[in-house]
Amino acid sequence: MQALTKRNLKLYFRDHSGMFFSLLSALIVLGLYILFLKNGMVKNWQNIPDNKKLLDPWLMGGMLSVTATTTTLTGAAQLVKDKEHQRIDDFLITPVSSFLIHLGYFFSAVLIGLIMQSVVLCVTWIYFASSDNVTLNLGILPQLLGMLLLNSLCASSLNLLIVVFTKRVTTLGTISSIVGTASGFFAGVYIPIGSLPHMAQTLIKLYPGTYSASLYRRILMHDQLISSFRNLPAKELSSFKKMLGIGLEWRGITTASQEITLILAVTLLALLLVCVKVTKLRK
Amino acid sequence: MTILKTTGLTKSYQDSIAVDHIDLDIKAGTLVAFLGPNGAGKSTTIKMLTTVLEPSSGTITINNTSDKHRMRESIGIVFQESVLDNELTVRENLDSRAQMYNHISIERVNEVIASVHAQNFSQKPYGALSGGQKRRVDIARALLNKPRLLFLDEPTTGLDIQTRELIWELLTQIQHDEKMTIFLTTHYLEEAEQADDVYIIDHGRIIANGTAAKLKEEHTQNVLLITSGDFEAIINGLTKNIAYHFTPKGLLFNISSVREGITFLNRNIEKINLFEFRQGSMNDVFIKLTGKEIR
Repeated sequence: MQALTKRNLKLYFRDHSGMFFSLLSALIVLGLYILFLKNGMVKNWQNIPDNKKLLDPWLMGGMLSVTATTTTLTGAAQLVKDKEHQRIDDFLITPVSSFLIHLGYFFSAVLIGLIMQSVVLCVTWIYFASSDNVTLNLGILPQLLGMLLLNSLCASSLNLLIVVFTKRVTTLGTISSIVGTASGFFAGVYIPIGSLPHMAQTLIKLYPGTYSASLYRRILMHDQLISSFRNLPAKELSSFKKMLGIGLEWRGITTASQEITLILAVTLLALLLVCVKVTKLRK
Repeated sequence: MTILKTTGLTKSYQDSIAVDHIDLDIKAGTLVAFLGPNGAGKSTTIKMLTTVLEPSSGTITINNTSDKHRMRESIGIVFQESVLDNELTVRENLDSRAQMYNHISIERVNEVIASVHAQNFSQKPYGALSGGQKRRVDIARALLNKPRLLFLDEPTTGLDIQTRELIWELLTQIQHDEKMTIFLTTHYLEEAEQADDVYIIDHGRIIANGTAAKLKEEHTQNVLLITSGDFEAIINGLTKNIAYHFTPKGLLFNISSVREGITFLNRNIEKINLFEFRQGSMNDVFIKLTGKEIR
């Protein structure tokens, strides 16, 4: 299984164009924000001091959610390529069980998600620090690392669930474009969730990446939220959070621990379904 | 000693039977050719024998075990299509596969690279190799776990004649060195000529089995074609009932043995200017039994 994970990582990182395209959605999110969205949003929240220092980390949260989704999908896509070219048969004749082989694909996807999210985090951190003097407290690093891992686990398990049911690389290409396009929308980075119609908001709330984005925003924006809203009424803060998708509205506003529980539950459920598929249904 | 035995091996799908009660009995150390037209059930059989596909019914015993995991320890496969990674070097490919087995050392990887003479390109990406080089590396991959039984699924398809010969030299050498049994499917019937045992499969069933010589004797006739000569005089002089007919190329006789052919030619030495004599080939066996060309 380790050998397979190592092999999958090598294949991902050696295919430079594939690696670039797996990051494309995240890059588009960043480009759109810098070129168009940021301006409008800054104007919208003119009354909030240092609003750029709030909005930049907000975008980073969404970007990280998108990055994990798209890069782990590219990572897990190796399974579809291997199925189509019958490489999977070459693995199945080794003493490694079918379950462990699929676990190998899962772990390589998790590691790819972890590494690519870290890269995106570092690059955007440096960029926003130099352009808008955004300062992030290094004390949030342990929380951030935990979140990188959680987000990668969740995205990998969902994508693994997609790829175990996909037989053709061309089908997966279509799925990738849909996921790539939709993930930015679902993570609420093209348009803040609060400005969407009710129907669209409900749809977004069904997507686990939304909760990852929310958790990232809690961590990344925590200090700046306190300092920016120090002299503003509490009502302003809660409506700002609701507008930007920091906590999502169900019966009340979700808390961080509820969001973590939900992500873990989705991850476990997806992995369980994968297990059933690879152990029971193989004929 | 029997290395591979199947009884009533069957694979059926909802509306069709791909493999229908196949019994195989393969002796250790032999070269076995498994032939059949496209869609006859060859690949399905190989997939079941190599534990990739679950049989619908029937049993498979390899090296005295029917346990899937223990069977896997005794087999190696050269797949019809290449299954190694183009982006990785030859050595990286072999290392990654070796690590999936429990006790394969680095020395073994060096050994298999040496046995297919791939030392010179072991650091090159697999995707940059020529067809013949790739095949050699595929064989090295299959040898990693020192298999007792090596499956070759059309190993030389798409290779030029020199490369095919080179691959066969290698395989013969390796079979001798590693004391392996080779189970071969092929499109090239001349490769089946050298087999110790030949199975012919069609519509999911074994329709013939035996040595190449035995099959040729049973299912083919020798052909004597007189391309130039006094045809009328030859026919008039026939002493016993020998079947003949005219073809665009000349007068054609079916002769049961080489000796009979020589006698015939001797007797008609004055009446024949040019002739061709051809012994039955595996190709004739194949066409006779399956009613179609293999390619």
